Amino acid sequence: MSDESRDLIEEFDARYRIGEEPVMLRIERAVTGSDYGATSYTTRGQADRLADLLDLAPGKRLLDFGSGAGWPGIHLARSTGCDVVLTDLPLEVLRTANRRMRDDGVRGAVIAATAASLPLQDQRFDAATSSDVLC
Amino acid sequence: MLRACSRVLKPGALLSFFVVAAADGVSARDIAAGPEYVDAEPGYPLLMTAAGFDNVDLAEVTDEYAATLSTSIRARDAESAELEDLLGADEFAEGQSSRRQELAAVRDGLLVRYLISAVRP
Repeated sequence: MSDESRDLIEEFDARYRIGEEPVMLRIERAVTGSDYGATSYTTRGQADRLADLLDLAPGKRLLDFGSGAGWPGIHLARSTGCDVVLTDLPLEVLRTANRRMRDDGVRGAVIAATAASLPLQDQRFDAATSSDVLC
Repeated sequence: MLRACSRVLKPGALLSFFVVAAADGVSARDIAAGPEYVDAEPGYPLLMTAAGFDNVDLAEVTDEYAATLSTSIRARDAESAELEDLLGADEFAEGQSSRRQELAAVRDGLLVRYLISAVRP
């Protein structure tokens, strides 16, 4: 991994750590209606729109790439009953997502990986999503 | 990334995602001169098709994006004292300046946000 990539990951880790502070969570609730320490612009209404578009339901498996701390992937799994796999690179963020997944009683996994090189088998997911991740 | 996504999806699976992108017609020079987050290429339908997706649909959600940005700026202004303690005055001011710059770019038609949906054949 390049120094530039490492710096970027550290920057995101720091940003997500701050995102868990009470004042940041108050702001997040006011702006998007979520409380995941999220950095995307996806509102709760937009997340619910994703659930409809992706036809999520129990027994289905969702991939959220560039998931950050789990918004909206964990919310989608919680609200529809589907399983979810989250992928991102900053480890601190993935630990937070893992805790949240457990706290919310959601079935799934978190994987440290870039979206471009997913260590996942072919044709395993019924749906995929991301929020404000550059393609 | 889209190709990797296509690989792991089952045939008939759905992809739906939000993305902030440079508006069609915005030049590479404008993108380079703009805020650092303006880094996305326009032309998502072509990218999606090239990655092997069908039934690509783009819904523009730029108005909602602008509203979310405005709310974000106001909410942070309302919490400025606590945020300055947490981040430092300079970092707080830089962040708010960046958000205002981003909002101006949206209102000037340089930045758009899409909800893109497609099917993996």
